Amino acid sequence: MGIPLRQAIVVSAYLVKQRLKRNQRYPLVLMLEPLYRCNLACAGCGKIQHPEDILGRYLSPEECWAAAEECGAPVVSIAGGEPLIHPEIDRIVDGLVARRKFVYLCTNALLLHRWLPKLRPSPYLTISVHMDGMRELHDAMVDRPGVFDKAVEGIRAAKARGFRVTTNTTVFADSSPQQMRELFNFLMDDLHIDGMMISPGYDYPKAPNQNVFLRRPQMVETFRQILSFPERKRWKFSHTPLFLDFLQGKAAMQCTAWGNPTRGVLGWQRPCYLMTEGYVPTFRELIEETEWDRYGYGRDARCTNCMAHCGYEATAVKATMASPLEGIRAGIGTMLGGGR
Amino acid sequence: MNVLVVAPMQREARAAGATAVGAGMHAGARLRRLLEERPCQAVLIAGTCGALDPSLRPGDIIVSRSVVAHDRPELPGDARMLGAARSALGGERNRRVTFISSRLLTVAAPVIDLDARRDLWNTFGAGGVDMETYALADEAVARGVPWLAVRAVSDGSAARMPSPVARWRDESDDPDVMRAIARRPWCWPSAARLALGTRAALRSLALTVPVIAGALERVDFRSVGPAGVDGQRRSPDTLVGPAAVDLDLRVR
Repeated sequence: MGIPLRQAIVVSAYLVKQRLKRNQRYPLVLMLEPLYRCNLACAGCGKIQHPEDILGRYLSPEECWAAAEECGAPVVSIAGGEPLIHPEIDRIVDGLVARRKFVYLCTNALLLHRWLPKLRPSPYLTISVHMDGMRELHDAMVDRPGVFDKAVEGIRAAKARGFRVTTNTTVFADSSPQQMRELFNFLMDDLHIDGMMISPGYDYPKAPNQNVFLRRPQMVETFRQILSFPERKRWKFSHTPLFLDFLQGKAAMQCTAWGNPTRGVLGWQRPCYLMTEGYVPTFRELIEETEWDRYGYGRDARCTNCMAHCGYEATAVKATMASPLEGIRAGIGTMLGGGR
Repeated sequence: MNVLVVAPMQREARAAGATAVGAGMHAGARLRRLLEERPCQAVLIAGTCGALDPSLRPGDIIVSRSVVAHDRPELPGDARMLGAARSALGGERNRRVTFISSRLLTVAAPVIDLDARRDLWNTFGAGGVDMETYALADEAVARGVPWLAVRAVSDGSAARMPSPVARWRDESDDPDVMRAIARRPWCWPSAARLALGTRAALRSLALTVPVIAGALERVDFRSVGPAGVDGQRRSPDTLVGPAAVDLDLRVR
């Protein structure tokens, strides 16, 4: 299944609880960045351009657990930087799993072989490997040869050890629909991964290569082509069907910036995972004192070409919960493989 | 008086305490005459609109950052007026009505098809759609008068509209549209929803427009400042094309 049944039930129950409590703004996924340092310099990344003193800072396991408790989101996505550079990443993961958080450990898999013996498979833990294309495209996007092969090796090793493994694919201007088709077929048929996430790249102003980003109309056209291949029916996406509709221009959505709050080494990042307008020390300040209405498509120029899952999947999840028909559709998708 | 407050329809004008200038694209001609008769330092356009932004509900307010129309250059709003309006409507915690600052889209006829609304949203990224803002703003810009629009949402982006509304162009069409709806019982639920939404929108206009107009009276329009968000007209293509990234619509 694209999303484990247990996770679907827990997240649904969490959403019902928030609705009953009439909470207007609540987090779905905590984006935890315990460090910004990375062992790659991907063309479309806007996370690693911090000065050296900030790249050298790490969140302690205790700070990570406190952030998860303070935020209360049922899902924690550990991103970065490269989380496997963190010397205590196994403790961070163990502590989050002990708190019954569904943890997505996002990695480029270069260091996965070192950590696999120290991590324990759990229904709460998913290893999410960054895969932007088949060998040539992926290695070009991460600007280092051999990374694709290391990632494939890491996925196979993790699967062999009983881990749930998914992939995260960012679609850029250089990614043709045919290349995405080859990748998804390979991931499903050869690597037997448990789910795939896809998202258009966000045009970070600080990204090393500004030519890799798609504009919104191009994104819609590219995703229409990708999702119209006949094999799509057996591709397991870890997304709601509504989000995939949105990517194809078949659904209208506004961003839910507060759905995926970001905690990094500098504090809670305002306003969202992709844009930075400063940091606040507490999650409460982030939620209560951010002028959320300023952000989103049509409201802020920086959001014009953003269709990323960290902003819109939360919208899709909320809309799915609010509509019985969409709920049934998502339920069938979860049972049969997600994203149908 | 420094600020001329205008609204397209009589009912909107009554709610907002504004001067009615008529609905549709011809509203601009009426504003032109008004500006000749009553010179002012700024124009505040008040009225209702349909939502394109799916997060908006009936009664929510859109304060314009700019206005676009098919095949016309984008008209940025006045940054000083937008800043004053935002301040007047209050911070996150003490708002009486929900409001956003967004782009508005002006079209020639009501958009009642839900797929068309979705496509307009995906293409233009405008929070709301109306039939007059562009014509009114264009007149103001032509005379060098700063402008701002405040639109209250009467129907959500996913709300089905009674089909006879498609033929509405101005208030003189009200009786015909009402009769057509009366003859179609299947349109009654959507018509009732639209009536309730319009009521909520007019209530929001009554709450917000006097507050914003009062705040605008205190703005010093004689000072040298940005006439528009960036002082330039832009093609609608730039809203979704590469140049959109360079268009800083934010007011801090």
